[in-house]
Amino acid sequence: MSCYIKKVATVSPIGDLGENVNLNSFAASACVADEPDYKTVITNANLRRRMNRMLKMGTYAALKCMGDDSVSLLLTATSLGSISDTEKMLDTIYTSDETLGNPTAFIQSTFNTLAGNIAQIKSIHIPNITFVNRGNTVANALKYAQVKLADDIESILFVSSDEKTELSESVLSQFDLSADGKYGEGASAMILSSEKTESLAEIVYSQCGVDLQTALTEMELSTDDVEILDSKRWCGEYGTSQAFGVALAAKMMEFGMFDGKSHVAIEHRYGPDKSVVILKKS
Amino acid sequence: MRILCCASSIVSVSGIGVGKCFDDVAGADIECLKPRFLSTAVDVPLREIPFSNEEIFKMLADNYSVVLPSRVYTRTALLSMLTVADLLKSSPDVSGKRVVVVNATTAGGMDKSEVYYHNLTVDGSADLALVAGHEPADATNLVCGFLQSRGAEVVWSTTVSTACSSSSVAIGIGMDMLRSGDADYAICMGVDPLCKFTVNGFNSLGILSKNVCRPFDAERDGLNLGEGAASVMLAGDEFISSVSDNIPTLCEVLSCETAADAYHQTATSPDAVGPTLAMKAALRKAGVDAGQISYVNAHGTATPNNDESESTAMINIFGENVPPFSSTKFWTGHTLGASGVLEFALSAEMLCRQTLLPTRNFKNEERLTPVTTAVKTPLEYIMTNSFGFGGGATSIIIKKV
Repeated sequence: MSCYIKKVATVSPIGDLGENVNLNSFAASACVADEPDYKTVITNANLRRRMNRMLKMGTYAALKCMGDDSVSLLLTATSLGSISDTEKMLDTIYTSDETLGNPTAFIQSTFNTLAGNIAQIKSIHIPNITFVNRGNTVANALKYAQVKLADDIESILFVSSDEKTELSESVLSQFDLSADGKYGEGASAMILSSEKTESLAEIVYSQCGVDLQTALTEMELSTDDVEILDSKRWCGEYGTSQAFGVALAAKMMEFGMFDGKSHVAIEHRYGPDKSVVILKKS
Repeated sequence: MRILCCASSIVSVSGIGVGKCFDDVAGADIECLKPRFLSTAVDVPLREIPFSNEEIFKMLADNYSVVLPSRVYTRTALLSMLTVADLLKSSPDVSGKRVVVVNATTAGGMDKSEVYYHNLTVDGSADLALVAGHEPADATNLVCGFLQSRGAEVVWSTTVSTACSSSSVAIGIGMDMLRSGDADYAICMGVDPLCKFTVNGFNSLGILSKNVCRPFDAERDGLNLGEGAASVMLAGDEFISSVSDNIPTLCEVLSCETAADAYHQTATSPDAVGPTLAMKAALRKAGVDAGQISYVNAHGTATPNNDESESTAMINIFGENVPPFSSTKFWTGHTLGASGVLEFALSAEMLCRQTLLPTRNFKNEERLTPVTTAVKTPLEYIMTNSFGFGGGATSIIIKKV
């Protein structure tokens, strides 16, 4: 079951990991995405104007990562989806006593709008699936990617995206989902392939409902071999923050930043959900 | 590996049961129904499941021995539990078996989140428990806990959302997980509660009919929203034979293929590119010729756009020999994320009974004419289609066993 990470691109509080990122430059307090100039990449002005931040971040990361490559499957992942447009839609319903509509907010709020936008912009008819399983979403999608790459699919574009709003941050903090109370946001895209050539890292494990120790035991790995990456200090906590961790780990592996360690583990604990993804040097 | 469907469940406007829903589609009086439980100012017919949340909670305990701890449950979670509890009544025993759960929804726990939002913004304060089930994972995890309580080893579970094709996509994922060898059974399901968010959203798009919807009719004027929860249990043939010779199977699932229309966020392309590609891919994967399809269960929402482009897609695939087809949404309404599995279950039941379900209220011919009465006829292969916002089109082919 070979699943190699070929490329990454992100919109995150520390910028695009696909570019050269200086990890020391980030002031770790804001956890707000450092948003790029979208119009250079999302050139369709009509679509771009209607997009909320979740869609802009996700579409940007996806297009940036994909470049001119072709892929045969698109997997997207989100926890809260287009939460800003969801709030807008609810606001219209209650302020107008259900007499006014907000078709744009409704359409944009649908979980799979990101996938639809990417397909439309790239004019690609490949299948797309949107995973919406809270804290397990990313590990779910990566596990499914492993299964499809082992079967008949050669390459996959994976992209996750979540935006934060004042209300979403307030609700998540009341559920006490972050260990240090910092809620973040961002989008992370990766090209996944069954081919090892020119890859950054290999995803060797992606499982939900397990803690780190169980994962290491299952993989017959010891902590001597494995770097445990705490990526949330750079991206903040959110449902799909694990994807940022995976992208970051892949880039750090490329730059040989884990001295003497063959593997990196990215654990995600999010309310009742827990999952572990393990990467291996490729 | 041949993949077989060994149990199904539907919770719909007809109540609980595939048979009940089937019989109602075939012959019940068609009424224009108003909702009893959803309070909304939008005055349109809605095909609501005829139980309140309190009734479902009690039915789970009394009829299915599922005693849930006392807390706030979304309708999504309760309906998910109800369909899976009903599924296990007729399914093989899951105890000691490796089970994959793939749930699908468009609204998730919005039925309670919208109450939270209202209370917070209008009244100034709201009970946090109302949004604890906002994310679809809440319902899925509840189902997994229930299966574990029945002795199943839940090896993998997820929730997907591809708008109105969501639960068809869930079937495809379940098939992939079975083929990977990681699981013995795949429970693929879809659920969508009626809520103000969905009703107002569709209303703002101007695609809700004020009357009983009329799929493929020249005078169709929009869809009826329905409420639904449906589930199926799939397994590989060798595994099923290894368990027992007596496990009943409803159908074989030959293929489940998806394509993107890549045209518009809510409308299907006039050439029906996505639907045509999905249907073509499903036929190819199934190794079945278009001419072998006995019946097509159409997506048939009764919006002018959907039925027009779906007719184009069927003509693209079948040419002048479009097989008998119908949309069952005149009865169930459009159950959104549940519709894929719901219509899969009805299609499997058609194979079992060798009887086609009709679109009974069709009157005015436009391009293609659906079957209008329930007909007993030899059925070998059925194609069932789902298309969604975002351009996702999924086509499934099943075979009589």
